[in-house]
Amino acid sequence: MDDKKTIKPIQDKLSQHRVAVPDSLWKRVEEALPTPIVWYRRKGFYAAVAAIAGVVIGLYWLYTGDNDCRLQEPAQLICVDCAEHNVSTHIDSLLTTDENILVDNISLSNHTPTHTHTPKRHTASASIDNHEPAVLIANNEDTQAINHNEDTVSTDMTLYNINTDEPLTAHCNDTEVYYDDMALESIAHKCHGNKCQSSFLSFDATTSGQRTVVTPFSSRCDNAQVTFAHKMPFSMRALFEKRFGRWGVGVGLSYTYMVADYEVSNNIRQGQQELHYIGIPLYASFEFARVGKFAFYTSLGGQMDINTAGILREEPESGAYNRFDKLEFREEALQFSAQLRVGAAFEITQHLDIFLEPVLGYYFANESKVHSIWHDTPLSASIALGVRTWF
Amino acid sequence: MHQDNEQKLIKACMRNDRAAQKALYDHYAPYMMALAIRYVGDVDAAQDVVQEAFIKVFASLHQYSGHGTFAGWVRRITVNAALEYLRSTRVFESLDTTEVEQVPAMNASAIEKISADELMEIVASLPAGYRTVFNMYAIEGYSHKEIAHIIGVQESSSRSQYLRAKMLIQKKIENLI
Repeated sequence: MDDKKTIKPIQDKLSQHRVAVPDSLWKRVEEALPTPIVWYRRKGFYAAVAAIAGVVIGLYWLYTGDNDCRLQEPAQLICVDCAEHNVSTHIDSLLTTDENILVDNISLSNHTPTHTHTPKRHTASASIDNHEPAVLIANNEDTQAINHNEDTVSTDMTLYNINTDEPLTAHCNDTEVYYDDMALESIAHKCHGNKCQSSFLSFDATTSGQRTVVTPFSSRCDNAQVTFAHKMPFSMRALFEKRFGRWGVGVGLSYTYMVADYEVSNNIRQGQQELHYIGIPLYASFEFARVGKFAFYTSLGGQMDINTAGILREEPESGAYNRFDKLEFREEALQFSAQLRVGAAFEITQHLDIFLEPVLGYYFANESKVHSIWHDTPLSASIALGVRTWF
Repeated sequence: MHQDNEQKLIKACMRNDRAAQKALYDHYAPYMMALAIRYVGDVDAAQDVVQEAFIKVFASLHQYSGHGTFAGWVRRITVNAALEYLRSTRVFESLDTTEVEQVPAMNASAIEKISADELMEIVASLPAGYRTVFNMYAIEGYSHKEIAHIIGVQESSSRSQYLRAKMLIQKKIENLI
């Protein structure tokens, strides 16, 4: 108590005490402060930059239009059904021309097999299968009925790439042959044993009753096409940023949801693809101007996205030979991207801003065969809207 | 400074408005300078402390939550800057920890007779340990436990430094009068 009594006068005298400050001290403080931007002098400059950026992004958006991805390669069709066949090596002869492989005019009624074989069917993976175009080359034996004395026979057929004449060994083994059911549709409707130009051949072996029938040379008369119509992806990000004056470094977590309608070969197969990604963004930012409650900044960074799920849902109207309802898959290849953002933030309260950011992003090619909008349109423009707080 | 005016000034400083920063500096620099001299004991060193404190104030304005007065917030930053300077000179590593008997109470009437400048000079002339503990305990209102934690000494050392400071201040006041 006594101490407090004596201390109080000292406190009163010293707590509000002032002394003169040398003039040079302000200069020292000022030199250490960030250089202020005199906004009114650079208004024109920033307005011009914003206008140019807006024109570039707008033109790009208009130019790219819809995001259909049209694929000419029939190898990229979804092969979802495979049949296990046991086929004879005694195949019918074929007639070849310089350019084309003819469908042999084999009549089913000419064959009288002596045993029954029922093909087994199983489902292949739902990822887009990378079949190479192939051609089956006969061993030039005469057309004969096929007779089997054993229940199973192995095939020693050799498949050749129609373009290079090199043998294919990748997707056929002794007891399994993969075929594309799109070809069946084409076979049924378009090529009835006529000469056709084709870039893809498939063969089909079926059995019925006591007969084993081989119709080895089926062809497709037109190129298969797969079209993906991508809808605008939806992304959410949560970021943590450490600021160093005007500069900042940030990291966070993002979630992206993509939907695309796909269509194969003129509506023979159609459906919807959903993709879910989790991403880790990393970036550096710089605040280049403040006007009243508005802050303007730019950021440059990258992001790594991981596909967590993919779903294909086929339309009930799909005319595919064997349509499916739902297939799930997951792409393991990582997706890397670089992103440039220019943003404007408005101060709502002392610790809350709302911001708007036009974004220019480039998604680097990877080994993925999944047709996301990033894969089909690597360079993209978008707009981000959000809120930010700090502590 | 009126609170509303001060809030406007703070917001302008956050926008890096140089004129607003100068106005805030002009208002608080004399207080901060006096505080720094009391802690570091030397005018040149005090200028360094005030410079560092202002840089931190302007860089951390967005962290001022509005709880407590702005003057109190600036004061705490200045005290921390002064303590950081003292730590860099290692003055707390060799404090005398010998127990001191209770000293007689200071003569309050004698304190009234000297000016604030003289009192500031007396405090500034104390050894570093004495004046740091005296400033933190008697002027800023920290407890000995808090002082011990901040400067990294025993609580008993803080008490003994304070008592020694009081003894010395009393003697210097008597000599001045």
